[in-house]
Amino acid sequence: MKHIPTSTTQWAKVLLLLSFAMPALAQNHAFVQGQVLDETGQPMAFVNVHITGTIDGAITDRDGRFVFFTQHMGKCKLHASFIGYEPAQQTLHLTPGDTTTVRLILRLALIQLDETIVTGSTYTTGEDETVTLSPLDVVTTPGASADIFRAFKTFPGVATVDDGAGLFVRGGDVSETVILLGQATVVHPYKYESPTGGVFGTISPFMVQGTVFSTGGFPARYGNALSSVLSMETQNMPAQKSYTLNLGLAAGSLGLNLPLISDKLGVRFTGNLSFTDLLFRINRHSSAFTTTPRGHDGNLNLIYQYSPTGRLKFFSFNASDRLGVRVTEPSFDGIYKGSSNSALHNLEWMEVFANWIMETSASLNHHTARKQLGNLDFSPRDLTLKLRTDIERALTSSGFLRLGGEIEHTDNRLRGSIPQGDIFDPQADIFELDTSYGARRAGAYFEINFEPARRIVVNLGTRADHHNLDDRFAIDPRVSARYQFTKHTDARLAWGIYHQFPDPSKYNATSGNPNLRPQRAQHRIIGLHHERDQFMVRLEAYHKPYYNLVLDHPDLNLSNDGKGSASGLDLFLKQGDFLSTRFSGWMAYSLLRSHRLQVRHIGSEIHYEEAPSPYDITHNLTLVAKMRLIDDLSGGLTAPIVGAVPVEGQGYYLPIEGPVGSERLPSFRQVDGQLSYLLPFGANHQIIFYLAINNLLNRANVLDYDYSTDYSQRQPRTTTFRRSIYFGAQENSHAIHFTRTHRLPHHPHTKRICGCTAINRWTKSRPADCQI
Amino acid sequence: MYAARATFERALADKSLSAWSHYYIALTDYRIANYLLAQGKKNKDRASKHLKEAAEHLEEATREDITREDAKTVAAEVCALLSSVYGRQISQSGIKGIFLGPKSGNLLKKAEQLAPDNPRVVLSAAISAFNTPKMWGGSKERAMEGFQRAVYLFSQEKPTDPIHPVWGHSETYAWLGIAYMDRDEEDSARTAFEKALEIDPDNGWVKYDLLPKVKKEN
Repeated sequence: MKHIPTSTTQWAKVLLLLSFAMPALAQNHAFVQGQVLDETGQPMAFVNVHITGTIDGAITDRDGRFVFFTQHMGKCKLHASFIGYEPAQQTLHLTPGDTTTVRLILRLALIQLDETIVTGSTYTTGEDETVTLSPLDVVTTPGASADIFRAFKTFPGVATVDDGAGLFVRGGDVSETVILLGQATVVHPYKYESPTGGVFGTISPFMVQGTVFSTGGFPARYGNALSSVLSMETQNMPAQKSYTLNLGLAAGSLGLNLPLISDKLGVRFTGNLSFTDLLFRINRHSSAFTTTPRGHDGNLNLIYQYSPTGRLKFFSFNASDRLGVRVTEPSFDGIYKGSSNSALHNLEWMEVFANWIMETSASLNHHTARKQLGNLDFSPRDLTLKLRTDIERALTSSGFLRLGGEIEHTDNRLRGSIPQGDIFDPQADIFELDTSYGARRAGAYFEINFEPARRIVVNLGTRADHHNLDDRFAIDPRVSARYQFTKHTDARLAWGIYHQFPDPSKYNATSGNPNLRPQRAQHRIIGLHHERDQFMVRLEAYHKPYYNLVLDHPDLNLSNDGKGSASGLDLFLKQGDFLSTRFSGWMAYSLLRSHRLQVRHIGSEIHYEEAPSPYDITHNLTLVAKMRLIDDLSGGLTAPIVGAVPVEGQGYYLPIEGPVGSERLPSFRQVDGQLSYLLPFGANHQIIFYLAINNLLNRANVLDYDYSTDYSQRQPRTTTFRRSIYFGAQENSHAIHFTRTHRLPHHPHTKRICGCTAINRWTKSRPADCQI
Repeated sequence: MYAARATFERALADKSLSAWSHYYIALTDYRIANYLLAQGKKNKDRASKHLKEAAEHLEEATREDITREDAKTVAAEVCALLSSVYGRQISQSGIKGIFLGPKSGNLLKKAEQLAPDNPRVVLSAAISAFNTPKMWGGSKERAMEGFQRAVYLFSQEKPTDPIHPVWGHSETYAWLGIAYMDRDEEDSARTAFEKALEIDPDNGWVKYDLLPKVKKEN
């Protein structure tokens, strides 16, 4: 629009001169002149202005001005149009010899539903250009250890309660976040599981094509989640053979991508071996471990594209880990041994029927574990089967209708020896536990995305869930809307009801309550989003009341008397793009007030108190900064600074005198750094050397307190890692090309970035991208 | 190009030529979109709008009741261009390939039946063969043959009506150069790009993007 051919302007001037120089012409013609402006009052060039139904008209010049003559007299309509703007019309009454002057305003055609994310509180990763973070951003986030979960911990609304990977969202517990891989639920998404989640996520970022992480207000397709959802999509067909080798201080891995039959059948595999012994020795953390954390895992992804519209995907994941750690507390001393094995198998089928896209999957989760401490020897096992179908069709050029349903069957078995007294007393009575629980949940939903008025997009949906241990349906209506102020700025609103059924073991008649109802939350969210070029800012306020939370009950064992709420403010600022700009990074700040009705044990009595939620962290600030030091050397820092976590006071093991949660742990502060250097070699190979220094300030962040037998003394339990280093190298074959400024076209000679560790420049032309 | 587009928009009022008007509006949209996409992701939204407009105008052109003598020529040109527009939309959003891929292929077949010696139809078919995966019928060899045949056909093309399209000659040499680059035949690629500039010295794609790449690799 900035460069106007001189000839156009000259033509307009000549026409204007002619119009005044030819009186005869003037007697038979009417002149129309004017200016076209946009909503901000700026002149618009190249706008097509003409009288409807005729070829009489002109194109606006650099100043948005136009002039033309016409023989069309009387009432007529002047029409102005420019692509990307809504056309404008004005009625004219033309008479011979007269000059009519008009001013037209064109408004941006703001909304294209098919490319719009309506839901607020949503952050994404992947290759698409609308994502919040690119895959490369995820793995280069210092402190994230190339882990998707840890990368999302640097986002607003997610609390840093320790140095693990657990996602605690907007005052909720880690169990309130549901993790999905494709359509399958990942029942055990963490490695080295702990009450706060685990140390890492089980799913390798190299197997994931994209993720959607919602911290609230998510649509009806997601069920049985009280606070948030992390949904991951597995990779598609590999374009060509490639491999990745990685050797670090605590892990070695191999990744293979093989197109077995070009564009028809492909396989992706990653295998990983963890051996933390060397890491602990070098960082002098090995003394606490009798068996340092170790494990192995493997992912297999088979993709069969049997027709242009049909595809089968089989994903299989298997992971084992174990550790032994000396537990030295004022009240006891012993060795904890833990081991676990998790597997997930998922078969997905995608096909197009008429105008409907159908996705169906069958998945199986299997998990076994063994936990030993003193006389305790406990082996839980669970099995989850899930069937899910989603169908979607476009309604018009914008908007869609989506329907789906799922059945999830869970079978839990708990076995083991449970000491009835002191856990280390060899004379203590042992209770032999062997019990099973089964549960089945069925759910269905619909969603419709539509544009009720200019600037407004709405996503409306409802889901219904039924649990075989509860004879009532849980109905969840949800709505979210987006109002587009300008091309770059919008406001988002979301409201919805969210249910999550208690763990099946809680329905047990002996120790639980068979009449439990699903826990319920209501999400109310309002936010502002502004994005322009490389800058993004998002501000959201939310209120989330909780109802029917499961609580201990003196007579019923458990009840749904729990309630509470979480309110807060999330701010996200992001500038730049890794590799595209020299500096890049983001800042996430969360302000949270969260309280719940909680149990206080006084002697054998149970009292209820309103108190801060266990993870009510008032201020949570995370800064991530990255910089390209020289061409292929990049460095970055991540600094999570967390207000304070309430002490789990007044529980069975922590009988602090005073109200529940009346004391807070000291603030959690940590600075992590990372350097990476890319060394290309040969035609299609490269090595990335990386060095990470975690907890640069060597701060001993307090995670909890341990008490002496008589509770007269306590000592802080701090993070496992003080200042520690990690380094390694990764080799990639086949120069997986990467650019943030161009999306790769779909043809055999383009390569998708796989995972994200490979960085290189284009070495071949990109014909489809450059066609002019 | 915007000025040209606006002129053709006004020309829509002339019903006898409206199919050609739709065609030329779509052609300007297609070229603007390609130009924008070559500038990077910041223009992707604008480019998508132009591609969408191009497709809508061409679809409208296919619905026009053409009684002119050149109805067959119009249909062939419209089908070939619409096939290319769909291909470009697929390259921007893979999911569209599910619906648009088969449509694009059918349009190309129809264009080839209507005007097998139309150089733009031959060029579109060759681009499609070059960019389409083998499984869905793509072939680098067939693409090379197509580009070479299109070069010959353009050299023989003598428009009988000034409204008929004549674009594509320079672009064909550009694509031929790309096909040579794909075979690592750098010298042949350079010759093809230089030929493209000989025909159209203002071909920015060749001048600023393709030719410098060959020189750089050498």
